[in-house]
Amino acid sequence: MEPATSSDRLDSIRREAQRSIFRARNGIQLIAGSRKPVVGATPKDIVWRRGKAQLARYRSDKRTRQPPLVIVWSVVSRAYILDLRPGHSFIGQLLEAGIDVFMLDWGVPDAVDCGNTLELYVDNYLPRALERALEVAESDEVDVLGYCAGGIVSCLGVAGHLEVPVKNLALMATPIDLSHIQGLIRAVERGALEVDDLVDETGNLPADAVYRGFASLRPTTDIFKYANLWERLWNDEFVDGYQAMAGWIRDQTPLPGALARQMVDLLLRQNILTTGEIPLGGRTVRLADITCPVLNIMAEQDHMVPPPASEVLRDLVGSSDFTEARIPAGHIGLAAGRDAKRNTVPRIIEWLNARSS
Amino acid sequence: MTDAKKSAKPWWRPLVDEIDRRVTPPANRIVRTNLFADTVSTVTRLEVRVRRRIERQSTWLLHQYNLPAAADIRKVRAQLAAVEARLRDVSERLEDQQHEAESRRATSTARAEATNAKRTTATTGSAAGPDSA
Repeated sequence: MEPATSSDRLDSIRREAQRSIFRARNGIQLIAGSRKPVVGATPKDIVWRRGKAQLARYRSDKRTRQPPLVIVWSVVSRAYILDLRPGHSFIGQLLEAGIDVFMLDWGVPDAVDCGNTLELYVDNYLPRALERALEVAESDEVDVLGYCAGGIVSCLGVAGHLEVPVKNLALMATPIDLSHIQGLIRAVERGALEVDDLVDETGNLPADAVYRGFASLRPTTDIFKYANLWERLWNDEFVDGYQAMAGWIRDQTPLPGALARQMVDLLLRQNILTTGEIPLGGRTVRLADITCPVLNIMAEQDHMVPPPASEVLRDLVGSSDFTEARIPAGHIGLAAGRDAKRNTVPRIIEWLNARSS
Repeated sequence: MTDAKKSAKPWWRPLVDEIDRRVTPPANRIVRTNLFADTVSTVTRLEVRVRRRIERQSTWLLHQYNLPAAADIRKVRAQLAAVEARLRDVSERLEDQQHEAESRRATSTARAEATNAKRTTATTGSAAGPDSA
């Protein structure tokens, strides 16, 4: 190691002084709440609405590929994670690849929605939204991409509505075998905790309970993320990214009470998805009826939906074209950040392009 | 800013990383045990029970003076929400029926147009037939 010259030392002191100034400025802005990152900035048009659910079509002059892709978002989190920041957008990357992107967002439920059931999402909202996407995009077929619990709705919707012409079905971190999911959910499975112990005055599982449930799986994350923030508080880009991500993580949505009870009873306690036959709306939905090409993306370091919870899907669907992809990322990294940009989105684009008309 | 962007780890970083390395894995293991889940469940249930008991008593007290309690307001809000949900269902059903009627009308119009076009072709064909022969 070469001895540091006086000029090196001077540089280092100057750098640290500069960082301290930036750190102080950004710290004050963070505490005062005057620094608000722009999230979900990609322009879009709402093309369909029902209840709190809405279907948005992202604007693009680069649409070259048919069919359109409808992203079916999870029922417990906010969809803007896929369009977190300009230049760091999952949606933006899909649009750049010429894909016509739609987003089916379930919205934020309130007291009116406490009776919403899986049937409402699977049999009412999803098929109508897909039909609207077909109409707006003037296409005969549609591709579907489901994320997390949105993947469950997508699977049930595609299997239960064979009249909707779904060409390709892609899934990300979709829990099928819920016996592999760990944490407080196990107490709910055993009956040590009931949904009714957790619902609030609106009849829904409050967003805070959803957040605490997820956060309890990584109890030290909150502590160590402050160390990361302090270390790079001088870096504007890091602070913007941190704020956007931390804001999203806290920004969960309530889960409709009826849906929560149904999910606990059917999906968790009976682990019914693993049987491939799900009683829904007075009939049985068979996952084996999914015969379109399927891409099942799993995150290798997913602490919420570990790969074993998802990989069982291979044996349940009737598709002969089934692809499995394991991305070296976590549950959120699969949809946002560097891992999504480098691995998830290119994988989806490549898979869809290989199967587009 | 370019100077400032040069990365050099602060002196405390290795210490934090070491603590993270030692604390996080056992903490992650603990939160995945049944004991942890049961403890959290018991505390949550106890909290709910205490809250409901206090609420019941404060409701009783307020009712003694003919005053509405939070529970009464909650009941009214729940009823309103139920009415709104019902209204939503009815309007959605109406919307669906309207949509169906529109598509049926479009189909019958298209069919009628096709029949007319066929008839016109047939008439023109029969009229033009002898001439062309």
